[in-house]
Amino acid sequence: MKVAGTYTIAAPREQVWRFLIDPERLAHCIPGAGKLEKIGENEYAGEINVGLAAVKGLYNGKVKLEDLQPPKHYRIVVDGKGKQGFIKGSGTMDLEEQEGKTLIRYAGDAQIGGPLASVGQRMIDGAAKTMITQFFTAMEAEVTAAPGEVVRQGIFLNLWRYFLKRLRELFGLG
Amino acid sequence: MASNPVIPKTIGTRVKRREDPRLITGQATYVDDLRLPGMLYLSVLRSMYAHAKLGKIDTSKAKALPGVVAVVTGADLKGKVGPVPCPAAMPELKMPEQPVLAIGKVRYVGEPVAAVVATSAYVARDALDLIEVDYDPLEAAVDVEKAAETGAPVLYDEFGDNVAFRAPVANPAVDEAFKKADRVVKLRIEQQRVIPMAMEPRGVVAQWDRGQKSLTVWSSTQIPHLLRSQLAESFKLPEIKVRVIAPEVGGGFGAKLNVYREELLVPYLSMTLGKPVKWTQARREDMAATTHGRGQVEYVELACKNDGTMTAMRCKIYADLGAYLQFFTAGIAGFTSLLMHGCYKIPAIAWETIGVFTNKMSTDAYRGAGRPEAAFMAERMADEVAAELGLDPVAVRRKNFIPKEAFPYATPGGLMFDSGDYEKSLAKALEIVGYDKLRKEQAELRKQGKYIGIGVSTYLEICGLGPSVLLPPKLKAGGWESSTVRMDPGGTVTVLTGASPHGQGQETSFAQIVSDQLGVGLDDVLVLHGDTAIVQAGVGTFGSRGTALGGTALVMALEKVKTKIKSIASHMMESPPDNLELGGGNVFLKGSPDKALPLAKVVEAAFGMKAGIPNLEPGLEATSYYEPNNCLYPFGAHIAVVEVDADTGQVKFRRYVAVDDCGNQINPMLVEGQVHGGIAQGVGQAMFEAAVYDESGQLVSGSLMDYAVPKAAMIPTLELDSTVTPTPVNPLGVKGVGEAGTIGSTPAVVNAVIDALRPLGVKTIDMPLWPEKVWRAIQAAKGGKS
Amino acid sequence: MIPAPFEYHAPTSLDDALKLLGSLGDGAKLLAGGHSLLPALKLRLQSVDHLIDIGRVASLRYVREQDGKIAIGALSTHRAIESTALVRDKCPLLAECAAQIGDVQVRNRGTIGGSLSHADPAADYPAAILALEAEIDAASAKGKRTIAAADFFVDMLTTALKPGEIVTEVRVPVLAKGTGGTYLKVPQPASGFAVVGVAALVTLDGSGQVSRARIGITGAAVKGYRALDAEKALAGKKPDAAVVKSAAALATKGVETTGDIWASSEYRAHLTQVYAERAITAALTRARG
Repeated sequence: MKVAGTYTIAAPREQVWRFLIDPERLAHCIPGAGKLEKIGENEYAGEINVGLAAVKGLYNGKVKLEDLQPPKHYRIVVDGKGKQGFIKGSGTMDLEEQEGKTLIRYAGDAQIGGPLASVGQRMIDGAAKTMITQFFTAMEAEVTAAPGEVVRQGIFLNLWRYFLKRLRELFGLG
Repeated sequence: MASNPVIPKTIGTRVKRREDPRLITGQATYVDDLRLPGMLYLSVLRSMYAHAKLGKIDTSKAKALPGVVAVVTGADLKGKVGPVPCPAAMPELKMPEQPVLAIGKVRYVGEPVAAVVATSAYVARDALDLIEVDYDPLEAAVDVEKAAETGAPVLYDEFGDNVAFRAPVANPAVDEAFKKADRVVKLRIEQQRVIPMAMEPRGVVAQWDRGQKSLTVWSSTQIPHLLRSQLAESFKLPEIKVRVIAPEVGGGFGAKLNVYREELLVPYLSMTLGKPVKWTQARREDMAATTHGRGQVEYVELACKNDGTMTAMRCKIYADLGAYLQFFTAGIAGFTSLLMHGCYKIPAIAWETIGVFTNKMSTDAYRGAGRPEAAFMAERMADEVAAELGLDPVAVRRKNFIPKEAFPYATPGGLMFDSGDYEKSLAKALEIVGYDKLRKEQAELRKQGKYIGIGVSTYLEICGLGPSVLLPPKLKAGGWESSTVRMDPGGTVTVLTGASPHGQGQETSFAQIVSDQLGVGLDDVLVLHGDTAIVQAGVGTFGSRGTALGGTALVMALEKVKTKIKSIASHMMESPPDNLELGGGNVFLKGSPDKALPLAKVVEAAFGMKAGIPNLEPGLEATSYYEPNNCLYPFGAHIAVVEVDADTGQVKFRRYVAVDDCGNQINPMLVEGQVHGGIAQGVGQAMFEAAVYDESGQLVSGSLMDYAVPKAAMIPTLELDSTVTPTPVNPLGVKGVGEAGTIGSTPAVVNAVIDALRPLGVKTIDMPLWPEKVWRAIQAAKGGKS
Repeated sequence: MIPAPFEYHAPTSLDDALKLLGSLGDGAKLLAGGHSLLPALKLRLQSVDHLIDIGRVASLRYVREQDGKIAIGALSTHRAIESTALVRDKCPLLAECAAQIGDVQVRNRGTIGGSLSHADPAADYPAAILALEAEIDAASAKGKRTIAAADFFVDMLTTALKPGEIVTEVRVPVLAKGTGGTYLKVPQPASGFAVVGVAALVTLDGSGQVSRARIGITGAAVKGYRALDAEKALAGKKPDAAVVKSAAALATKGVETTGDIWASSEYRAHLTQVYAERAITAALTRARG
């Protein structure tokens, strides 16, 4: 499965970059992720409860950041395994400075296997789209938070944020 | 004398299936219905990966679960059971060993990795989640053409590449004909993988009797005798110590014409644990780990003259074998190449078949097994010739038919067609559908922007295989079939057939044959099958052979019994045996039905032995084995009429006419039933069904949520008829009909859709004809986005 | 296919069900018709500690007219909705939608409350519920609230229901004269779910202009949605074929359509527009009476 898209975050590129290489803050934005443990240079492991609503499963995952070109590019390699299947993929994040904001271009390719793939194919594209939106919305809240502010994350909060953002965009309030 | 009720002849009449009352009221016993004292339950852990190195398998947590009796892995079984037997033999065939549980590597999603035996099916399933397997994933070879290339991920390091065999059959006459041809038409055809999807998934129960040192195996199989021979060999037991029972079997379609890993695993565990063990497949397991059908990519070329005369044909077939070789995996494409010319008189053919290992479930026989692919090739090419030359597809067919005077007809592939009258079935189908009128209507509707298509398929197939030499040399069976006819002291008749019907209805059709030949009532006949301890050696039911071969063996056995009946009656009636006939429950003098002796009196004499007949051997029983001297070649004409919604690519049926010719018909209702089911599966392949593997080898249409078996409303209303061209090969004059519907229908449907879109410039669309593909073909042809 | 073990509860009243749901917390899941939940459990895509079977809560099975609306108890089956004269006569759009769900066996078991709560992106109801601007009542141990259809579908498989809440009733309007509606779908041949489903509801004023248009779409994206741009393009217009076509072309505007083996994202968007055009046309024909 291939995913690609862009997302604009109302924060300077440096700030976005610092977030993207901070495993703790990153984990805070991945829906269902617990604590990430450092297992090597730019390599982390942890448990993540992936899924939507009640159809969730616990995965043991590894995340590795490669090809770091601060503050504009890296590659992320993800490998997760659970009883319902496995996810194995990689993607790139490219950051572009745009008048104080940051345009993120993401592109990735993931293999999904096991029961998830064999019985859930019709949902996978939608689930990926949903989770990516959730991730970026959470990330924007995190990145744009005031220093020291603890950002509450959760699907409803993030949907609310997403909704406000769409409204701002619609009315050109960017 | 006696006035027995008249028993009418039943052959040729629509006798209702005697199997149905128990089946439709839920009274039948399938493998999963078996409950044996102390029975244990097996559950199989299957690979989530298409291709991976197997690392450590930790079964400790599973073993600790209360109720778990045993957990085994490939390492535990190595040298003790397996490999899975395969009779395939071809020159330079690469033959991989198929272990019962994966060793070292997994090669398809669904490959068995470990197995749990527990005191309940629930515990067994729960324990699977506690087994931890380390996989080291490898790139998978999924696409059959890419898998054949050098540099593709290799399934078997020891073979170096994925090409299992390459079978080129060159023919200089073909090259010559192509040089001289006025026109050459070419087509790339994809025969997508489809899933046989028997209503009852596979299941096995095994019981080892420690005292007798004998093994009883209940399996949902089409071939109980063959399975017994293979099990005896695998477990080094004499055949008398192995009993295989195929209880009620809920469909097979070729996918149960095999010996599977679980058929070794379950008996092995029963023998080891000393308790009966049961395994029943879940639907998802059935889809992932029961053989698939079709799976070919073909490059076809046909040379013809400007008047439409076909002069030569050649093809290159990539056969997607899957990861391991099951019974006929390597042989299916052979049928395709031998019959690629269909019912057309094409003087020269040539082919190259390339068998390729891929990281997918094995392919093997599926309703038609190689012949649907052949008929599809011939019928699509006939339409391409017509399109290329601006001729009517019917005219092209008529021009090239093997004429009925030409039978027996020696084919360029070396077969001998027994009998045929292709024009007759086509003419009948055209008349029913109103072909000329339809073509006019089509032209009118095209003007209104409606896309109506008429697809003709004049198929031919090979069945009733056949002389034993045609079967794989290592197969522990031949092309013969057997039957015993045993009259019981009470006057009823027991038939033991070596065929193993699992939906075909031979309990009915064989009773009809007995009833007609002996003059007993249908209710006085019991047809037994599917138990090696009851039935003499037999082969099984596949390849539309049940009635043609099993029925012939039955007729032969009946002849012997009749001879004895007449000989006894001859003493009692004081008339030479040749002067006697059987009918209406009597033995009577030819031409004088009133001079009759009740058959019951003969039976009484044979069992009571008090009639004073000298040298009479008690009993009325005979067994016959029938070895055919040729195969059978049924044929027919199918016509599909469709309407394509050009805005969406959706296809709707308007008409469907099928005229099939399977020779004489014992029971036209059974024939129709077979044709109905066959067309459903053929339409399924054309329109709906596909085992879709993604590029990493995941079966993404792995449940009935995504694998579209057609439902009743998705099948057109079928207008069926038949012609009768008996075969000279057997005394009943019957050919098989089990696969005909599947073979004839797929090309008819695809031809119809292409015919509808021909004005737009659409030439081919790969099956299944899902709306998006049809829509994209239309867009591409229109020169728009594709 | 055997699910992971769970505790089974079968309350017979709404109160008991709410108490159980409140006390068992996250590990509990409601079972209504079970046509989405049970396969997910059997496939072990989902596991629960407690299954609360509300099938015996008879008070949630009714279809009645109430204050000018049709009130439908959450446990009403699709079959009941499709076959009840009240719905057929006064809100045929919903009856038509229910009649196209799955097959008869599914419709005999599946319930409107269960289907809405599951929020399958390809379920049929969201299209009709959105077009009809239905109201959905939810109860919890703390009380009861009403959720507007437009707020109900939050995301893929996610609704506005809070933990501890049970859908109790769905209310749809009685359709007035001059209003016509229909639900058209492309069923996925294997599952019967909507590859795309469009519910169109239009009201014409005396002069034949569209006074109100509501278009609900399902199957096309991660959740059901209203095609607001298409609705706007119809409002106040004399709806000739060209107007309908250009409105329908807006049916996926701003929407990221999803793709699967049956329909790519691009083809789904195309199908949505074609079916929107067909549904609006059919709804208009009915509105004209």
